[in-house]
Amino acid sequence: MQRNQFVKTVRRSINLNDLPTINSLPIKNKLGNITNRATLIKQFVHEANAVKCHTHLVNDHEIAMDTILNLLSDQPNKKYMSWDDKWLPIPNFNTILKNLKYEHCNNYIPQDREKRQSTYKHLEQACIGITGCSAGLADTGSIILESQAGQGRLCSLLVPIHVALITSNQIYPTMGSYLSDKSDNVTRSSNCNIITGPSRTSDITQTLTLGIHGPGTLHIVIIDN
Amino acid sequence: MTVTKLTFYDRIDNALSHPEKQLAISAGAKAKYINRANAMAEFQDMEMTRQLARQVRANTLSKLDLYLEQFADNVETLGGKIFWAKDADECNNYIHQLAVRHNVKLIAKSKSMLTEEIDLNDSLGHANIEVVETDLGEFIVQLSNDRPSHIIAPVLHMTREDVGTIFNENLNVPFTTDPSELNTIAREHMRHIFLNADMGISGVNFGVAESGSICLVTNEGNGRLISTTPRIHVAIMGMERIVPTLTDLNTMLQLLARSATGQKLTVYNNIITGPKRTNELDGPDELHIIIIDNGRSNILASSLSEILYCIRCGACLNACPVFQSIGGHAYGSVYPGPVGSILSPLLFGNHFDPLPHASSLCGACKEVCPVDIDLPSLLIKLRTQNIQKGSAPLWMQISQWIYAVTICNPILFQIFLQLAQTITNRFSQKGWITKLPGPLKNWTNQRDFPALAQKSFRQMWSSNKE
Repeated sequence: MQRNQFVKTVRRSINLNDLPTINSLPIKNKLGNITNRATLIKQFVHEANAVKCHTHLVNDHEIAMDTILNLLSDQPNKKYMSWDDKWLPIPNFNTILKNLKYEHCNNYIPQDREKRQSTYKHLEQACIGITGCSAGLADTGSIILESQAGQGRLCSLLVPIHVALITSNQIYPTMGSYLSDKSDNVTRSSNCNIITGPSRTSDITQTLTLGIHGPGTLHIVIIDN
Repeated sequence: MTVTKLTFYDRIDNALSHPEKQLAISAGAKAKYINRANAMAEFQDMEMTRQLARQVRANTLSKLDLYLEQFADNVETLGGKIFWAKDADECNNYIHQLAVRHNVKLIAKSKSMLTEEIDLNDSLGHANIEVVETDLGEFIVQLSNDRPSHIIAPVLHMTREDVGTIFNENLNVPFTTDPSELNTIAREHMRHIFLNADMGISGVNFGVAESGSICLVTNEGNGRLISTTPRIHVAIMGMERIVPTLTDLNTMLQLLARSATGQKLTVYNNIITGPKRTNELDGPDELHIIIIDNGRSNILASSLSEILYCIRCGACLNACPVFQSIGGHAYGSVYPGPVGSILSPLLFGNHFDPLPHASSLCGACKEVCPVDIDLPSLLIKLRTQNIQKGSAPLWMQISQWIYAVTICNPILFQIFLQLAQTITNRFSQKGWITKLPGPLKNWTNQRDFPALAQKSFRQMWSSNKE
């Protein structure tokens, strides 16, 4: 069907119905009433734990690195996926791991069908995906991830364990407060995800189980210096 | 949508003859009802947010033509393709041709009631293109050739044993009833599908007019996978699914999660703004968004347009005492429960006319609706229309006519009242009738029928006067 024909039908329906036109909506972003940083972090940690995330509150990026190395050392192999250093709050993150003989799986996905599938096969072996965040939301314990260059979507999707790094100044009280500050960031890449806890389902007799298609474990490392 | 030949009453009888399913359904629905109530209780300004959300929906529908154009312009600027589909055939044909053009053999699909509405899987199946449902519930439904019984929880009617048996028989795995083991089986089976599919198909929870974004909401992550790993992503959107701004989207997401599952937010709120951009690492090269009418513009033109406010959270299903008893299948439509009783006759025709009568009009649905749709009033409007067009059962039409004549005539009213008084009191014990004769006995199987008062108000009035 042609666009103008479709829209014309819709317009005719609206006119027939005589729906009230509402011009100004009083809707505003809910900003939340917490401004104190320590309280915000506390709430964020509390809510993230409530949705079954593992949170690690650390004082500097060196302890953050140690936390990640600890997680990596528990894995069956040394393969991992991650965002580019530019997007991570730990300086030279990937270089450090490279020196420790960890293998960074390149997650650039080519167009060609065969190459694409062999890349997926390779990426599937990665045990951990490490990403930064655009923001954290204290009232729901959520993290927000974008997909600009160097911020692969698959790092937080294909792996069984997702580790997200966030600095304490990135935590907003609510989604409303983030949108009123940075709403352009939500649409500046092709994909923006608001992630609240690890993947889950209750489809079978309403019993909650974690890790169906996405990562079953989500670690959030909060760097507060 | 494929329509069964069974009448509504046959389908209800069917449902009531499976007590184990009935138990699973009522337990599941009640659990969801309680989860929602708890989540709402701790939601600040809940009622105000609900009324704002209602206004957002009203505003959107009153200017839907403009918002649709704005949305389409933005999607096209981003390099996405828009297809306008009048009905199921136009939509299914478009996807079929697209699949053939790109030599697509395998499609991974995330849960979408709209694709059930248009029978997309059947249509592609006929063309030898394999479509795999990736939502765990929908996957189980697909394996067992069943139909979803709830818009949020497709296998609400199944027990663990049912699911264990289905996996055991279809996937060549040992029988188990442990949900987490069943989960792992599904995860492993589905990996291959995600990584090899050439096309991903999803519905759309919300389209954002100001940015041309679409939002897919999933807990499992399948919505993210099917919109990331395949080369082509096709999203099918009912034309009413628009919100004007990201701020409005936020309001809707908060209400949707709480109403549907009692979560503060769904695990993955996946906002997609165009196909993968040139410098990005992963994501689909092509994004096709199909905006479908399929009868919605007729609803929009009618006095029942309020039903288009619906954001498909399923809260009214869980709250409905009728749904809790008969489950989703008895409705015979992809949209069951109170919302389905209104949508189904409007979208799928006369066969579903009896549905609006299956309600006690208790109002529980309106009470839990995140956009405060006046479902009981809409049900009454549909009942009225059924009587007017003569599609209600004959006995109902006759009794309605008798009632109308009687209530308008004081003398007749007096006579019938006296008659009812005498008869009901004659057969009652201590003011209650425990057994009614003939077809009326179904009523007294479960409960007693009250006899009319010994003395009517009129009688008391006139005796007091004296």
